[in-house]
Amino acid sequence: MLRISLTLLPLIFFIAFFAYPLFKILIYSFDSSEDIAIYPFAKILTDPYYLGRIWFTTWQAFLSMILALLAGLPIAYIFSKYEFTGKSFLQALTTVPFVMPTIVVAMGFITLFGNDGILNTGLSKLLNLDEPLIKINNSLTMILIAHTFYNYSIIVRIVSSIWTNIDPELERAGSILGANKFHVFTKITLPMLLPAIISSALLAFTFSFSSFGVILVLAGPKFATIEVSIYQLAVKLMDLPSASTLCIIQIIFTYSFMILYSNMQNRYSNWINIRPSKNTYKVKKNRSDKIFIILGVIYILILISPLIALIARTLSFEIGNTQSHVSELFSNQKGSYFYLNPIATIINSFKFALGTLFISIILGTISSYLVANRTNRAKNHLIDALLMLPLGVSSIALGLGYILAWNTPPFDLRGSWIIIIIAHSLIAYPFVMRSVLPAIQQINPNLREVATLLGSSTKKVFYKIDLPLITPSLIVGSTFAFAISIGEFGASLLLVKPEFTTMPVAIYRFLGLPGDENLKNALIMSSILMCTVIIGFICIEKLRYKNIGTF
Amino acid sequence: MSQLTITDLTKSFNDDNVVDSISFSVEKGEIVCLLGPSGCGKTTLLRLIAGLEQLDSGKIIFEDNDLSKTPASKRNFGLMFQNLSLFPHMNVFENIAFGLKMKNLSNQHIDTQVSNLLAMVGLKDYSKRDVNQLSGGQQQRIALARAIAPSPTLLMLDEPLGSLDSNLRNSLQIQIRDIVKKIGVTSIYVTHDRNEALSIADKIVLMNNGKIIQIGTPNEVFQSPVNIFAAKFLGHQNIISGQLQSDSNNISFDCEFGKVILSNNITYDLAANSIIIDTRGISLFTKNEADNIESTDNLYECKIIGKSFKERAYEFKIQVNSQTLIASFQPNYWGETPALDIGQKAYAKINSEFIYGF
Repeated sequence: MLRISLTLLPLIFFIAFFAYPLFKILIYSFDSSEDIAIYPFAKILTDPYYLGRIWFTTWQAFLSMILALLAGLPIAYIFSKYEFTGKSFLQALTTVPFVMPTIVVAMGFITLFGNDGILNTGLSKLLNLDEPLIKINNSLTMILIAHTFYNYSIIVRIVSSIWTNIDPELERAGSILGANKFHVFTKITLPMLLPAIISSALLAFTFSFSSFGVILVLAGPKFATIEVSIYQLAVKLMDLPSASTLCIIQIIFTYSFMILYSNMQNRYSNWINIRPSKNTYKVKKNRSDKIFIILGVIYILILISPLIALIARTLSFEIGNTQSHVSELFSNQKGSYFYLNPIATIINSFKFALGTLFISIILGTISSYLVANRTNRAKNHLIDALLMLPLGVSSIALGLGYILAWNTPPFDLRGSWIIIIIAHSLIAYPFVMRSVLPAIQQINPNLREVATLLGSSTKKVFYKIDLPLITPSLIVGSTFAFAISIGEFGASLLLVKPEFTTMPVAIYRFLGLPGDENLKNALIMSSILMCTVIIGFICIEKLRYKNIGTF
Repeated sequence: MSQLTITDLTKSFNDDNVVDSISFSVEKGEIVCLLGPSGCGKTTLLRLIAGLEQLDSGKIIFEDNDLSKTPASKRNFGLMFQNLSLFPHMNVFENIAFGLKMKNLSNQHIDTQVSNLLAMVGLKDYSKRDVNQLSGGQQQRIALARAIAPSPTLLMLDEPLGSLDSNLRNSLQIQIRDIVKKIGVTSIYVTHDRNEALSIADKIVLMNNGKIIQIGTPNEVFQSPVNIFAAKFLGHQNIISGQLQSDSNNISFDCEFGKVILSNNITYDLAANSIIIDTRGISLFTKNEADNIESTDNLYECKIIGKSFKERAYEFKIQVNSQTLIASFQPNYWGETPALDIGQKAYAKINSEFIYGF
């Protein structure tokens, strides 16, 4: 009984909060009840504006992907081939953007590159200019830089993990067989790296394709992606059928990318001889190597400069003022209608994050056991792929689905706090699964058999054998869930009522309000969010097993 | 003039001389085994010759050319790697064809060459297979085919059978030797397995701690080890130290458990202070049997402290005074078992024809 109900739990959750909302979106996208003679699909696909949005979304994602590759591959090379002091710190630093909430990244770019940003103020003072020198606010350039900042860490992480593990003997075998350096690279190294490069590029493309927060904050409606258009249609224009149609179009795109991605993953999984990676590193460091490493380090520091700018700006407010803004932020003295209670907001965020952690850990662990326990491999893969489907649905689409699906009493969940936790859990549990599943699969079944032979019941086996062994990955999964929830922007923006405002939504609202005070509030909150995520991230890095929690 | 001459080759990592002024030469068509325990520098020596490591000092001369400035890709040597290093993203055909393609040979030529090689290693129908689908032994043979495909002037094999089980090792050893001899390529074979070296090599270079201990044909190295390390490494078990004595009519050896009279048929170095007694040279007798032996020369009272069955012989561990010796008992007919057992008193008779001094 227990076993069946445990199995049903993730199933019910999956159907109720993923399949059903998605189905609702699909229904709405074919809805012609509004007094228009054409289906929403026909309407969208004949409207030059939306076709333009789809086209723009695609090529900006492509451009962002190329830029991410250009930025990421040299660093991947350095990490794969060289050993130097501070390397692991730099590697961790490189991954920071990947886990940063979009809204924080957007804030970082505003503080660094904005018209009143650090760069412009500095340059104006230095060169005595009246106008900001760098005018990339609300421009494509800003979007592309922000996407690059976001995505290069994916390229570095995936490509270098494969590159490090390519057995250097293979390259040597090539040179013994008469291949020069060029041929060794083009015929041996590159073909082996290609699946990793392509799959990381696909991920970068997919992220840029469904980009939301970055574009909403940094670029404005002129540069709306499909995701932003869905939001505008749903919230500003109240045209739910058209919004649904765009959702379906977007989902078709992202699922195609995901299928390509998993094909690539399968291709290189059996190629790689895992070797102690010290074999890979160049022992000798000549002068040009050293220069190369130093350039790489500077490069990485430039790439994460927006985050540094954010902290610096926040601190400069603190130091430059007699009255601390942090303390101001925490004192509720404003009577303004727009005023958001910051403490309540922070408490909200943490509450939701803890709720998400709880639900997604339970769902993720049970699902992992469902996948791990089957002996049938094909069936296994199917269930695994099915449970990973939420990864391909954007948070705006999810939010829209919930609004469409759960809007009639007694199940009117719109605006309730539960729906936020549910949305966050659905986004987070695939990450929990990706952390926990490898740990479960790595448990030697003999251990359980030994425990059983020594007299343990099934329950005891779980508590004495499984649980201690998967605890580190449970912690990694929890941290992921927490970090995802606390930084989640799109779905929260669609679903929250003012009294449940979370930090990312509050930052966005602060930015929309005039005046320095609000900007400062946004800055301080972004810094708090960033620090929370970084602390979580350090936990992940400390506890991460090899390959666990990587995608 | 030898085909390959190595002179005073030295290579150190972190001030540790892994290869320490090594000199030896290889004749054309010869199979030379670099034999030694792991960490003795044999693999590094091989990689220096291959050009995968830079030498610190010394010379590698191949057919009158100094190789120190020639990159690995220009040496036209073949190397079979310890972990095989088959290219995982290529199939069997592409792996073997790789070196031929690097020589810009015509496709037709490559096709025939590869199928000839596949036939030679007995894997004719495997050309389109994925290398990951092959068994260990098959991968080994593909790696050999790949190494010899570009007709290298020197073939190097770095513990090529390391990962296989012993039955497979034995059959592949013979196959490798046959193929190498058939194409007549000069070869250097690295191994830590003395049996492998003894059965494959024309010449063995025994190494320890980065230095050469002994060079010789397999039987020279086995039968006349130069020191205790060589004797132990080649599997000799009864190595006894003591003093060589010679009087008017015979030579004897004074050691811990008494005096051993040596054979007049064998020449002994009078400076020798160690002897090896082959395990076949010690026969064991019960008290009754011993009483009937005419000569009491080299007859010692002993105690049986161990007994085990080793394929074609029993191996007894015996104690003579405080010296432990190994004696083998070879049954005279199918099913014969020795009368003696652990814990019993016995008599050991040492046959002086089976004693070597050094």
